[in-house]
Amino acid sequence: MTTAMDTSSVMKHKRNELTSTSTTDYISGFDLISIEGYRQDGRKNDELRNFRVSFNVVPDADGSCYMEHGNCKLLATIYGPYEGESRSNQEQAVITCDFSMTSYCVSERRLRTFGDMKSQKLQMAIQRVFQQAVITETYPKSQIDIYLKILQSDGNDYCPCVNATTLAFINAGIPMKDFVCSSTVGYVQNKCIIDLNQQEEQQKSPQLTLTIMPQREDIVALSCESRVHHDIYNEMLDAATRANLQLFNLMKQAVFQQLKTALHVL
Amino acid sequence: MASSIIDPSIQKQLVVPGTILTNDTSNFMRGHGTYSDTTRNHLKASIAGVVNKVDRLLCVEPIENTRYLGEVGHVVIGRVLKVDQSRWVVDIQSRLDAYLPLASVNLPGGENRRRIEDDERNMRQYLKEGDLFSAEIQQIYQDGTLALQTRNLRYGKLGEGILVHVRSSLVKRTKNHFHSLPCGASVIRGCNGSIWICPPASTSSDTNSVDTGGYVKNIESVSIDVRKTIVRLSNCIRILNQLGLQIFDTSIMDIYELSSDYEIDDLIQPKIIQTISKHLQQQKGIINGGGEVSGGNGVDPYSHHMKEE
Repeated sequence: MTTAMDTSSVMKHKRNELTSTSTTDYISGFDLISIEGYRQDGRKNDELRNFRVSFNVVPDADGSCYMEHGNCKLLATIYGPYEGESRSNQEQAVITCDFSMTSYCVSERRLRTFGDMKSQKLQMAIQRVFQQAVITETYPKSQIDIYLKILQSDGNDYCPCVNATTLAFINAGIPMKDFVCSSTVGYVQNKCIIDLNQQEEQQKSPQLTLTIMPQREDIVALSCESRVHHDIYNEMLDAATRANLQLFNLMKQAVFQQLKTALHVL
Repeated sequence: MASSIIDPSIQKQLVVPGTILTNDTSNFMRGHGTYSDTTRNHLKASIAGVVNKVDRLLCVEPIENTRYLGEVGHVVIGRVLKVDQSRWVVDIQSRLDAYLPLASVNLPGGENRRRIEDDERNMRQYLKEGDLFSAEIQQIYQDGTLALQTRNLRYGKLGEGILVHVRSSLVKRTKNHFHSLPCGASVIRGCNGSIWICPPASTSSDTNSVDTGGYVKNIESVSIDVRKTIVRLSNCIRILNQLGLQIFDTSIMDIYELSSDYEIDDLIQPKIIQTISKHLQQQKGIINGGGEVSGGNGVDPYSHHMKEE
């Protein structure tokens, strides 16, 4: 989690000196944003990718959710709370996370689908986020397991994982303080673009990942691994917050939809 | 920002985690499914469900998928996880394991037998790891651990049969949880969502006698007809679970009668479940046992559901 606020020599020139035609913005020979203002996949700057959710996909689990966010497809499953092993906490529930990918989820076949450095980092991050968001005090001596499986990857895996886990937790009926929403923002051609796909993410543009609890207005996690001017940084932060709120509304709608379906059936 | 305050006077309102229920914390009490946000002095929902206001108590009731919450007096079906010192550790699909103390079981030889060290040593003779048994919840401790008892000859080790897991919310507490169905099988409806289907008990009267304390099960072979009935019943219960209908002896029999047109292994195919549910609606609209096919208001409750599946 690094927040690089830039004061160094690289960005000494003022922002307003940059124009949209500045050569530094051309990275690999094409524009990410066309002259008409559309991105490569036809979205506007502040438009999310397609978002689709279905619940109860794993009947034996306590909560499960299959999510499609753009080209990213993943499955989040929750087992628990159940009585954990002796190492578990006497006061509150322990959350564990297991992240894995399918070998066919990226364009080049993966030989190692779990346990590499990247997935271990992601596991830790998700565990930490949900240890905060879930009201773990309600379940002393218990353990809750999160299982995440990426079926098709589209750039950043962390954000869809957080969102899908939130929905799976809600599906499992485990008490949470709030939703947890996460999204990325990039800065290209002097504009903030939200919800980056794989192509946009591979560009060497500044990127920021923000995870919030939208109704509490809390920031859960924030990472920005490039050097940006603090004006741009604030702009990106605003854009990320707006993106998360959009996402929150979509997630809320999905949960309501599920509740209504369940009410009709029960 | 994105949160909205709900009007507590309106009943049956749907909420999601984080929705503010009230900012008047002094006048309302915190029930299940809510938490108080102390920094902002709000009472908020912590789960998705329906708001329920009883006088000053605000609760959010979950609609589906919750772990079993025990209540004293519930009949449950559990599986022995391990044999501990003078107690069995039991899995009953709850959030914590349950315990069956040696002191609250019937030991062979009658009601008032003293429990001596020998009994403690021989615990595995009665129930060992992996054994299924029916019991009643005797007590709930502070941390949510459950204590069971089998001090009744109705309860005890289960022999031959099928165990079906359903949502625990579908099994309501009734006077009787032990049914012997007219189709020739016995059913135990465990409140924890475990349903046990076994051959009718009449043939083996010796099992639940005082001498054995209900811990010896005969393993004589069951005829093929009885087996077919049992498997059909298990599929009927799975259908009820998928349709989200309450599980009573009457509702099981309703589905059982409707299922007679189909082969046993075809029963749980989505298309056939759909047809059966339509038949059921046409037939009654309401199932006799009290399990109401809700929805009404001109909406077909099943068409929705099937798409989701």
